[in-house]
Amino acid sequence: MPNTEYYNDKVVRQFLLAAAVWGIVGMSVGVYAAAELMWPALNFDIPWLTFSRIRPDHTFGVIFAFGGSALMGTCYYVVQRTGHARLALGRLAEFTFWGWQLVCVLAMTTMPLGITQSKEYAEPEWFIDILIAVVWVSFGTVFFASLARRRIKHIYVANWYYGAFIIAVGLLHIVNNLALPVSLFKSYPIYSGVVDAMVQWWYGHNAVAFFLTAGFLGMMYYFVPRQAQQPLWSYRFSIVNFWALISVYMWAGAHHLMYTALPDWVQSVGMAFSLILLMPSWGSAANGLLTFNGSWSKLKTDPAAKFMVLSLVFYAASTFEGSMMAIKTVNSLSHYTDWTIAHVHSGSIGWVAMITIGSLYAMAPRALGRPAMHSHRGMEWHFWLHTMGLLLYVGSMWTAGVTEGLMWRATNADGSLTYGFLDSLIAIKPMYLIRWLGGVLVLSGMVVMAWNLWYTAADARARLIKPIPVPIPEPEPHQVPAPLPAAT
Amino acid sequence: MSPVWGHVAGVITTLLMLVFVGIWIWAWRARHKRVFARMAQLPMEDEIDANATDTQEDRP
Repeated sequence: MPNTEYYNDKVVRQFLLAAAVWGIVGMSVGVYAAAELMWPALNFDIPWLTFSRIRPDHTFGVIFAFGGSALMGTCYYVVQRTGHARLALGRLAEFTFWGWQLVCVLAMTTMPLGITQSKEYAEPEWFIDILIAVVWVSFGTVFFASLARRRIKHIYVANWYYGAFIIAVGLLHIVNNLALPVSLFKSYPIYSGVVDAMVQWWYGHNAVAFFLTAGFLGMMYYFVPRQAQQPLWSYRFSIVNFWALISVYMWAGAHHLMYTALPDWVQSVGMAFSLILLMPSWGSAANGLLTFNGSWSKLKTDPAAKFMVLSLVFYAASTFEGSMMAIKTVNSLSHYTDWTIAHVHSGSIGWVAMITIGSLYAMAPRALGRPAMHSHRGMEWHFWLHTMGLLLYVGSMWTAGVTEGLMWRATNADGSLTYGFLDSLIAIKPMYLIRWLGGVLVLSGMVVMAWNLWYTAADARARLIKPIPVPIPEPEPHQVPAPLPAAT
Repeated sequence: MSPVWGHVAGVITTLLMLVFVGIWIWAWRARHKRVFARMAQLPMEDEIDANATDTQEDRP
């Protein structure tokens, strides 16, 4: 039987390009925001350039535009490869690409103009939220329809994570953004007071859980074994970790609201679940790291493997840190300080960005019809720029955070505060300079990656590459375990 | 609050713990071993074209 089915890598390439562009845009805005904290005059008294307006642009740009594009692209790549079937609903997949780009452009242009719901990580107004919901449901439809036409009966574990990511993010987005529009640019949430806060942080924390963790774990569970050229250390352990992670994460959101009007018992539930969460988090990190057992020598030569290993180290480190910060007594020191910023960036620049970059370097040559990336040295440079930037960033913010925490809680013998707020601001000013420098290094690395991808994509741009045939197993279409693929 | 809720919470907790143990047992069942071992090979089978590099030799 002649093989007539080919993988749909066009939409994968589109998302790859989008991820490279949004990465630079989102991080540039971040670097500018960091510069404004160091040199406040940089806002030039222009409303749309003030820190408060561009900060959501940075978070939306890196999380949803850069991270989202990378997640959707790798998801489409992985679901095809692990199911030995072409992506279902090609036109709808095309729509998810253009729809998501439209969402990103609309969000990134309206937020600096002050059109915002003021909900952290859910700032876009109601008309953008509706578009997000439509694109997201389409994304889920393409993904699950692709799973339905797979030729391998068992669903590979990476797809479990991608599936959980799609379902949970859709649920979180819709529930948190229920609002009554009063005009095109203004709406009010249907929740109020402490309920609004709890819904917001149930959403906010699970955006971390299902967008920034489950989704990227899907990436990890496919691209780490592929790059290590070793099967997962323990496949069955990955299944236990999956169920533990998704059932525990949903309950941890209350740790964002310690010492607030939220009922005390809800705060304690959030704290307890945050501590339990450490186990499935470290389970996945250990599974990924131990997969490199026997191919540690790759770290000498393969920058993509280096990105992946360091990302797993930072995944383990930041989840441990997160669990500790959810303990009320630790939280009383860390909350509202730059320690939170350090934690978020050790998770995002360390875990999320590094697993993404490693996976993109692993996937790009294949999707672009080349044996390897254009420049090996470019990847090496990117690794060191990124790592140095990351260390400067988190090192400076940890120092700043603990400094602030200690200065704010210091009291004199008569009970009055030892330091004013301005004292703590002056004390951490050098740290803001180092943080900005770290951001510049990370951004430079992204520019190197975009340059590298552009040249790797030369054949694809010239339309010289051939689509990759799906290896259709013979003779039984649903044979388990599937035979080795034999492309014709 | 009615004391019944305490029992309900206890029953639900016990059920969830049993489900968790059940997932471990399911994942460790001997009959899944062959399928899981085969599935774990999937990511390495991506490079199948002519210009594939040394991926086949590297496999343990």
